[in-house]
Amino acid sequence: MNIASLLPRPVVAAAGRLATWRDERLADPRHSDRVAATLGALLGVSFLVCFLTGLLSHLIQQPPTWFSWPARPAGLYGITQGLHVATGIATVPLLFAKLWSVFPRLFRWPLADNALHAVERLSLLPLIGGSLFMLVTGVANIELWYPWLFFFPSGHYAVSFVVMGAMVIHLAAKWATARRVLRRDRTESRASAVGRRRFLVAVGSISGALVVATVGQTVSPLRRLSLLAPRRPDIGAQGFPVNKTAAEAGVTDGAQDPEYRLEVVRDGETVRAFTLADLATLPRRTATLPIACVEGWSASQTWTGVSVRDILDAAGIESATVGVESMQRGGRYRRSVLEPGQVDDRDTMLATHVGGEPLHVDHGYPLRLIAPNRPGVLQTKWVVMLVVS
Amino acid sequence: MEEHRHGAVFVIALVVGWLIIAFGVRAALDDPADSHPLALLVHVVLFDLGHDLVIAPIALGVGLIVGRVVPEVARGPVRTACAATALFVVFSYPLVRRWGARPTNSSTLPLEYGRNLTIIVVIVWLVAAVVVARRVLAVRRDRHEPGPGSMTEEVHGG
Repeated sequence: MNIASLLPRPVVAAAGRLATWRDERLADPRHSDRVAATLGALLGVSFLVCFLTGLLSHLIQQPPTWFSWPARPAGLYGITQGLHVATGIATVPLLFAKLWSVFPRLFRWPLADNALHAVERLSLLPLIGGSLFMLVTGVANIELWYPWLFFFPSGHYAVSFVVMGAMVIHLAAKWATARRVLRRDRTESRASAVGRRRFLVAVGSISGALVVATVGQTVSPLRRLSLLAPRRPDIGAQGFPVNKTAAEAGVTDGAQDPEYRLEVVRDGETVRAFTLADLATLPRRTATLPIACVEGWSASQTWTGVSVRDILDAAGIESATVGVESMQRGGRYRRSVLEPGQVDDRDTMLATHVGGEPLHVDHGYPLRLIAPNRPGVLQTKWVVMLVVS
Repeated sequence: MEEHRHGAVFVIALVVGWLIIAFGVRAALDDPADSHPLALLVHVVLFDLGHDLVIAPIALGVGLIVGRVVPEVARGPVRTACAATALFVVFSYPLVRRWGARPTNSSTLPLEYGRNLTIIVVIVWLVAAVVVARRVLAVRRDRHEPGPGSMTEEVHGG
């Protein structure tokens, strides 16, 4: 049965007028199948890059039993998250261009040719709403602005699967058309080809400009060009950014307590407690390592401290998984875990100095964890305890 | 109008795709304290409606106005500059208003974003002006030396 026969005549008439408007718009090369397919292909790649790099970060922060993240190469995590954020930002103009280009197709009449086509069209709701959700919340996150109820990583993680699932459906629905229209079309008029190319160049230029305006928070040489970077790798206490200050964490007094001790704990018992003077008798370690934030900024610094391995050796502990605990009383990141492979890397250290100076309290004085190839939120600050298991 | 026929591959993709969507929904439902599934759903729906009922009509309306008030030779660059300006303004508005800045942390939002946004918008419109100037010159040249593949044909697509 034709759906149109069930609807009142004025509705059918209005739908018909919209369909006419739509057909006129689709004659414009900027609304053509080829532009839609080109932008769709770019979006497919960019969303896949964002999904994989985001999933990687999720697995590193909440590792399932089957997942292990190596300590080397030291800067790999920073590269993946810089790529995640830069690709996400580049995707914003691409997505709006794609939505603008295909918007007239929304007013198709009849709404669907058959049941499967209806399901395909319904799948656009999670695809479009989810894609906008991912980009808008992702941008707000790097801008440190959270006008919503949910915890950003949890919401971003869940909706990413919704978008990828909807994208699989959309890809399958459009694959044949995209392959056909992306072949060279010798019948396309010169005016149409010029219009199409100019539109795509314009979109690409905006996308590139937005990346240049922000990517300096990861790519340090471009920092002066990045006029809209929410962070600068060279601005902050001791010349690099701070995520949470001592005041925000409520540890300003505790961090400067002369009675400070680092405890090594196993089975609930303190195996050994170190004063800062005790730690100073252990071998010193210096390494240049990046501190890389999931929000896309990263900054390399030269850290000096005591290798976690040496501390455990001094406490008589062999290979182990180590929980690193902060003196901050609350917060999701007051504790992080070092797997044995990370513990055994000699550059995994409790740092006391950065750039040759004692750590600023906002960077974790008296001791902070710094380890290669690790998210910044897991580089625990104001460390008071190593819990061995 | 193109008739939509779907084969077995599409049906498989439909099942796989909705299974992946279901995984995401389950991830939200398994962690309700953090995910706030209802809030997520409301946001996704609002983004759908916000695009279709607000953003797209505004974009089409601006395009229509530019089409009526701007000479044909300049329409493409002006539309591009409008889109770029809108994107940069929306992107940087929370930065300019410093909504995410934390008073005790000077490394958060450390730049003068209002001034920087102005610089970027000025650059966008300067680039647009240069492109328009080049097109005007090309059109004038074509009028004097008309030939195959002239630029006057090209500007219709801009």
